[in-house]
Amino acid sequence: MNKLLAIVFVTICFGAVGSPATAQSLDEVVVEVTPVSAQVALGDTIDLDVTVTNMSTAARDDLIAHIDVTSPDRDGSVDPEDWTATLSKQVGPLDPGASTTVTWSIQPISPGTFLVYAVALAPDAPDVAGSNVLTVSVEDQRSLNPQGVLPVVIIVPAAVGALFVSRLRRNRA
Amino acid sequence: MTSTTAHHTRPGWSIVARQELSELWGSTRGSGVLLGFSVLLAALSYLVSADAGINLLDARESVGVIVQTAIALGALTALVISSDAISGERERGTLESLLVTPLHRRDLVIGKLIAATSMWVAAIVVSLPFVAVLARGPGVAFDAVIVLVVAGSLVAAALTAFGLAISSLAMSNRVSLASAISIMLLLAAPSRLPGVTANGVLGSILIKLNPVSAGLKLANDVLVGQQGWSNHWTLLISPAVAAVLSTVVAIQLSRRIELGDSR
Repeated sequence: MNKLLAIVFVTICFGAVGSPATAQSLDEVVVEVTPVSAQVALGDTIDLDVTVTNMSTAARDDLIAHIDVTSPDRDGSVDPEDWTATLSKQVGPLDPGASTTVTWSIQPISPGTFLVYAVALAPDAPDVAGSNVLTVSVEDQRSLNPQGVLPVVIIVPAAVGALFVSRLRRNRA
Repeated sequence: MTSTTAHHTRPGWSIVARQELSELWGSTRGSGVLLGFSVLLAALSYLVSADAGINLLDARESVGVIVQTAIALGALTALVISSDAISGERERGTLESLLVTPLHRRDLVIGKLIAATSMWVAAIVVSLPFVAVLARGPGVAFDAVIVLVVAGSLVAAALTAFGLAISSLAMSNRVSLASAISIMLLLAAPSRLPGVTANGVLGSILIKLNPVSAGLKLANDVLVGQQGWSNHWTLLISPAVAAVLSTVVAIQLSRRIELGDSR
């Protein structure tokens, strides 16, 4: 009887201590960002796929995918909220060995080279699962005549200005 | 002689309107204000089209910005002219000579109102090319022109008559201009404040009751929000009521026009 109680006690203790530790860690969660590089013009959008794979033996339903942007060329930080309105998205339930893809459409707002990466997080996890890096090269795009508005921008004030000058001359004469 | 006969048969307000229009557009006053308006609108159009051209600003949003600015600034130009109409004459010492003519004071006010309204008509003419070019991309040219002409004209009519009413009462031109512009800014402010434009019941009522913010919200909802006219035509009620009331008040106040002491 004592032996049986001891076995039950040990099972409960090891089970209680061991299970949460393996459930919380994100060691066995793999995050992959595609594409790995992109060259776009300023104002273009990039479709980003973040694939989260659960390599552990336990199912998960608490994962959150989060993306961030930084620039290797700048001292200051890049505000990723200028690139996309939603930085974090729920991954959804993941069975052992399963993977799911979360998509983003991001739009760079300034020229230069930027690094985009994603992480998977969980509320109780002590670590994060990081992805590879997407390198984005954004080419500046300038037009002297955006949307064909330049002729109107010049001609209308010029015509009103000519009216003003004619009235000015007439009144001085 | 013939011309004298024609002159006598013409209504008093028509004589005043013709004289005022001639003074406004024959001098540099009207064209100077219009030049400032066109330069501001041109600069803003270029900036928003540059942003929309590289997709940093939604094309419909750029049209909404231009139409709302055209309404606000165009109405402001008409307000500036009308708030100078009576108090300006008083300050320049020319009101007395006007009051001793056989013209009714009501004709004087109506004639001046028509002349000041011509400033808004000129503002529409100047705004149309900008609106047409920017609205071509998103295909909202028809809606944009209707919003500008209908909502803008009601807002401008309300403010022009309001400015004239203030000008009749104010003894100094400075007071008249400052009061009219301050009140217009106060009326335009609610539509720009995020706390008021939120979907709260009180905010919605305030926007609808205020003729300026109602007109600007209509432009935003129809052009930027892509919402149809059927849901938002009620936003035209307060500008229309304000236009009629302001005009009636301005005409009624013509009885109280006094020479005063502009010094």
